[in-house]
Amino acid sequence: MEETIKEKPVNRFFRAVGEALKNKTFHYILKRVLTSLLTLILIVAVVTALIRLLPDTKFYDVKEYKTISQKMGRAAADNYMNRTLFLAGRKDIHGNDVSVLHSIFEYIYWVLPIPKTIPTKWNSNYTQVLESATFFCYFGRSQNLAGRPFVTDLLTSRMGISFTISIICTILTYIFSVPLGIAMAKKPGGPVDKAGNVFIVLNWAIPGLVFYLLMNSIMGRVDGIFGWGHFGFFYEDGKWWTLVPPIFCVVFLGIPGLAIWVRRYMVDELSSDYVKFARSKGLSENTIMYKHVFRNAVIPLIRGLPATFIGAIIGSYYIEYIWTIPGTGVLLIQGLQGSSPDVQLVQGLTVIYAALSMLSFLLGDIVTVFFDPRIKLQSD
Amino acid sequence: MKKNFLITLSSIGVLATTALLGCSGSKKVTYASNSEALGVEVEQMEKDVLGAYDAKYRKAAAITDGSKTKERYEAFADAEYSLIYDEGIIVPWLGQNGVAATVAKTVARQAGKASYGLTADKFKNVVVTDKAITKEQRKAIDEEYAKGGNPQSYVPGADGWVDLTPANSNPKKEADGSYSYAGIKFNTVNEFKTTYTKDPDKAFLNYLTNSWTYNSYHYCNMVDGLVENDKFGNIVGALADKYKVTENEDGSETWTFHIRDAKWVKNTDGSEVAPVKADDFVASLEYVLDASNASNTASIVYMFVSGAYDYYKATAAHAKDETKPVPAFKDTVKVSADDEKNEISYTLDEPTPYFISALTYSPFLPVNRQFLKDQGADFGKSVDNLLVNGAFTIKHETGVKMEYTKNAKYWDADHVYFDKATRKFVPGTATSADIRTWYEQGTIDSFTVNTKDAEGWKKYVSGPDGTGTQKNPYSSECNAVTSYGTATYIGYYNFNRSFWEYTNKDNAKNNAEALATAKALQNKKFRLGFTYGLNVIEALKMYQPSEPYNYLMRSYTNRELVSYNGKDYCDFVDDVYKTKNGITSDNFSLTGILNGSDPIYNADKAKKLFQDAKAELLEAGLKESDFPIKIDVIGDMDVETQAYFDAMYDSINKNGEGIVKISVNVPATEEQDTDWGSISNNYDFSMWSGWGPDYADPNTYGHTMCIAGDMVEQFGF
Repeated sequence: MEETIKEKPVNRFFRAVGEALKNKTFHYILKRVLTSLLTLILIVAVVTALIRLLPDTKFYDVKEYKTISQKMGRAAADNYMNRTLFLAGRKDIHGNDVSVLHSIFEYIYWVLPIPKTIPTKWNSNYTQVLESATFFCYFGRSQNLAGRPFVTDLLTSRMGISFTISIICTILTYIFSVPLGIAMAKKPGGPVDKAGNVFIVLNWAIPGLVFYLLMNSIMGRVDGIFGWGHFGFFYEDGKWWTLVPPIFCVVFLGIPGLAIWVRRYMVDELSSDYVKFARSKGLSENTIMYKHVFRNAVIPLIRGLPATFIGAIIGSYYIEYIWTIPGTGVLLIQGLQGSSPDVQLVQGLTVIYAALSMLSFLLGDIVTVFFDPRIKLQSD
Repeated sequence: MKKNFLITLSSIGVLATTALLGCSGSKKVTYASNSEALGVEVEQMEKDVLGAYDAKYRKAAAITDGSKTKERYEAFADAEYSLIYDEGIIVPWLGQNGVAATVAKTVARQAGKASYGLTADKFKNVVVTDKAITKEQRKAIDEEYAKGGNPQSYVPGADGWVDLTPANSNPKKEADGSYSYAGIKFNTVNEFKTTYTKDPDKAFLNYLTNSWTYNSYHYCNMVDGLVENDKFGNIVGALADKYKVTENEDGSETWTFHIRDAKWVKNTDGSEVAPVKADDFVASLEYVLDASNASNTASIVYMFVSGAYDYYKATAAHAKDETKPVPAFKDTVKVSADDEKNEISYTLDEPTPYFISALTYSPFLPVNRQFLKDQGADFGKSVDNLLVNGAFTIKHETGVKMEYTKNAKYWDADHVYFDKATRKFVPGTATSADIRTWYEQGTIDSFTVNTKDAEGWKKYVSGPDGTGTQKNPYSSECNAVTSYGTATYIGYYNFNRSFWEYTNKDNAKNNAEALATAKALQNKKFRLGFTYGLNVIEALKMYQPSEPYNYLMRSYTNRELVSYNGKDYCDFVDDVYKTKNGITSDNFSLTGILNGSDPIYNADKAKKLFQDAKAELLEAGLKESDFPIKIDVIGDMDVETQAYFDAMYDSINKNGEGIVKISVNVPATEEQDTDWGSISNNYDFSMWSGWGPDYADPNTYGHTMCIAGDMVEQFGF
């Protein structure tokens, strides 16, 4: 009787790790993640430096400074200015300047996955820390929004509605554009293709913002042609039908973009050899179209799916501003506009969005490898 | 030979050109300031320019006897007239008065009225109706209102206390939910829908440090102070139900207020937290007067309360240098609380009858000491970081809406006429037509018809036959509502200019030109030439193209600040002008909206003034070659806006032809614009300064222009 020597679990674990380390896919992913981290650090440095380049007068209200100086004296006005600049991270509590490098390194330290204690509550004149908390990755707090929420809390509380809207818009856009693209690709140059082209060109010519404002005015009126829907002029929590106008706008303007790509991928595939072979074999057009060609044409679209899903977290600025939807789309733009730039919000959102973008590119590449045997991540 | 000749010729040519260029050079002013150029000390220049007004001002400010209010207003009016029309120190031009065509579902004139403090933005006493107020109803309301109501007496009773119970309290809602006024029965609605355009930021809702109005709109509904105003503008009790004034032996005056039973509740659920105590009023002053808390409104406290300024300065010094000691608050600042009797006392350095009006401002609001300590720097950062003792608790969704819920434990719940109010955030992309549609569909309860909304204008104001006007709208639902601005903008001179920078080299001045300008600004007739020769209507057309004189303001103190026996203080100023200039017409007013035209602009008068000024200046040592005097103004970076100002400056260039010339300098960047306008003061004449009242007395404006006054820093003093 042969005895099979069973491998100890510890040795089995180490062997698995060793094999994994030799695995080329693992190498590739590790390389991508490390490069992404370096890019993120670079992004933090650049964004912080750019914000620090802004003059101090953008952070405090000069008119208010003047009024306080008149009513309370220059010292009180300087006090106001220094306090505002302290909250914006440009000065310390005593009014001394904070160097740009210090701002950059501090923020990088916050973002890196090192556990750190950060003060969360100060006393009224910022001389004493009342409460601190330990964070793993800390992205800062908004200074301009009421309650000064943490950037991560802001994102998580707002991304639900943005994500929902984006996903519904994406699904609806696909539902309308894919059949349109396929119908146009079946006979390039034919009547369907020509009509489709006219629609696409006209639709593309409509400026987005103008269309949104127009639809807001038209679809909101109870006495207008859309009155039956009681859509209203802005989003109201719990009333899902108030989202119909913004979703309609996004889908309508999004159709040409996607339809064109679908048509193009389909036409590319239809001109390849295997289609001619399938036709000569006697397969029906529909079988060729939907069973073979579509599967190949759809690969570039699948590559973009992770980006679409992850990007859905970031809503559209105009849609959310016009219909006052409490989503994430307004955060970054309003963090830069407004009476003063919201420094930590802009830094945090930029880093998080950049990280999400890089993640979605990486996932897209991996997904493509799974779906398309022709593609490898690295050459042997 | 030829080569050498050419080389010499060309080198001579090069040298000659360089020499010529070097000679013309770029013009630069090397004086440190105008005072240096004129060879006078700054203090002396200040006395020369402001001395005459200062003397009249001091005379008026010295009349502090509460029974001599009329004399006080007359003296202040005299000083104000002298400031503008004798000395020509300032050129008032813009007061945001206006007539608005308003469609509203609220009963007019019921809410508290004041052009100072926090009363005007409160929602208590606002009554919402189911239909828009018609013209007939408005007329009846106005007639009833004009009767003036019952007098609010500030005479102490037998026990020495003045009763602050409102003499003109609004009637309660009847059992069937209706509300009666002026003989009309209005059906009320239990919800108020309105809008707001800017979310709280900067100081947020910290009412002890905040100075921005878009923040105060909200906390004035959450926190009450000692007093507020009734619908006639009279001071009535809020948290205080009575007060007494005691004159002390050392000349100081003590005001004692008795606080009624009131509660602090949590904003999130309206549950009770603590009673409102007298100590709450001391806690707020301790916070405001600590300079390290960076309150933007501490001056309203320390200009009245004895010892407050010393304490404030000591905390400021301590914040800079920790070794400097801070005296105990209790021993320095003369405010004291008696928690058993629930009384709060403020002691002032000298008798000040208008002190009570300052108590309507936010630094005098109470704060719960323990809550403030627990919150630390988070106090007021959001609606949930405040305790509520006022009419409403608020739920805030940034960028979406604010929901006000009636505070069931409010001491004056009878005068809150709806249980819920919604303030919808209006994005900047919403047009006037959109807002009108919001009203028509019941999303909001009132709106103002805007000329930009052509359809709405036709429907409500001009009517199908085009006969309606803004003052007399066509629609029966539309009423012309007159409102007076709470700030006046003035044109003024940078007497002691100390910074010269030009983006356009052609405009640059040299020392001789700067000296000529400095001398000219010291001449009274030269300045009065500006007062009478600047056609400000041209610039006002930018705000109100059809009726620019609505925004015109030719006296300094704003209208509806104070009145004596029904006569507005601005009427006192008008009277002085009429007497001194021999005008007998009853329709004359320095407030444009009451006039229909600009009573001041007079080209002939201005021409004569400039010619007289030139003669005087030539005698004083200027030469013919110094004229025209170049007056630098900062141009607007927006070309459209600048066109209006160019039209206005044209009037000076014409009326002072050969004597004065306006030189417009447009900044190159926004940073430069901010720097020139507010920090380095790179101009000779500017129109962009204004003042708003801090309390109900002409002194709030008068004190800006006296020696060491609030605004004289702009003059370089």
